[in-house]
Amino acid sequence: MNDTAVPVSAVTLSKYTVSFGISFAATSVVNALIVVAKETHPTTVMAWMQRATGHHWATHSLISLLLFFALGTALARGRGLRMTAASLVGIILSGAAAGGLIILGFYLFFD
Amino acid sequence: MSAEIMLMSHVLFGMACVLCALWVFVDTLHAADANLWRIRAVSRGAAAAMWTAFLIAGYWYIAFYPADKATILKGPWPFAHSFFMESKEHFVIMLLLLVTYLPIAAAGDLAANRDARKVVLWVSGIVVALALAADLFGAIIALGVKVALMPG
Repeated sequence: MNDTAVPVSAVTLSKYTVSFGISFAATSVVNALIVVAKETHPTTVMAWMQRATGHHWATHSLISLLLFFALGTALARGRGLRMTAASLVGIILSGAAAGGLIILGFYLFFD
Repeated sequence: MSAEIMLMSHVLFGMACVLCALWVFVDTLHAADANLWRIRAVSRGAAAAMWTAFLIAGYWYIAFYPADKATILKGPWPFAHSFFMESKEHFVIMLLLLVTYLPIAAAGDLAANRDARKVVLWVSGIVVALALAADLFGAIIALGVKVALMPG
């Protein structure tokens, strides 16, 4: 029995399309959570990000890019993950919406 | 390169990204063996345009924006920085990731594979929406500077 519960015959997406799609969704949420972490912890998280590259935003961008490539590459190892287009699109949309709403909501209501 | 040229060129490359992503969307609706090379080339063009815009804007933001930020915060539209710039500088990272993903998704056989087409259509559509939102936010930030410098 296939542990992903997706019939092999229904899967037509390449492993890189799936792995980097999931990586985008996950990284978008992490990217937004870093916003919350650095803005709510100015003397620790923000200060470290400032020191790491000289500017917190440069560090933030670098972390998100490295995570995206590392996670996408890791998830594509071996045969990679199998998923239908509908599931992958759902994950990509959910990641983009969650990441966007966390950022907009934080600066609108909490900052 | 002056700050003004950098500022305008990041908008130019951002709009080039929008046009490329829109092109990919429309071409993918009519995907066939004959236009696969073009879809893949234009999707790479969208990524290249966004990376160029991002690097120019990133340098400008770090080197020149602090002066504009101080101007905005003293003016009548402080939200142009506190909400619009703060949000934009972080959601464009998502946009950069997504447009980097576009050529990966477009590498499949879009002519024969309906699932691959569906993913490319959604991704290119979200890229257009996010890039237009970034453009709108940028316009509001620029207005925040302008209204702060207007007399009275």
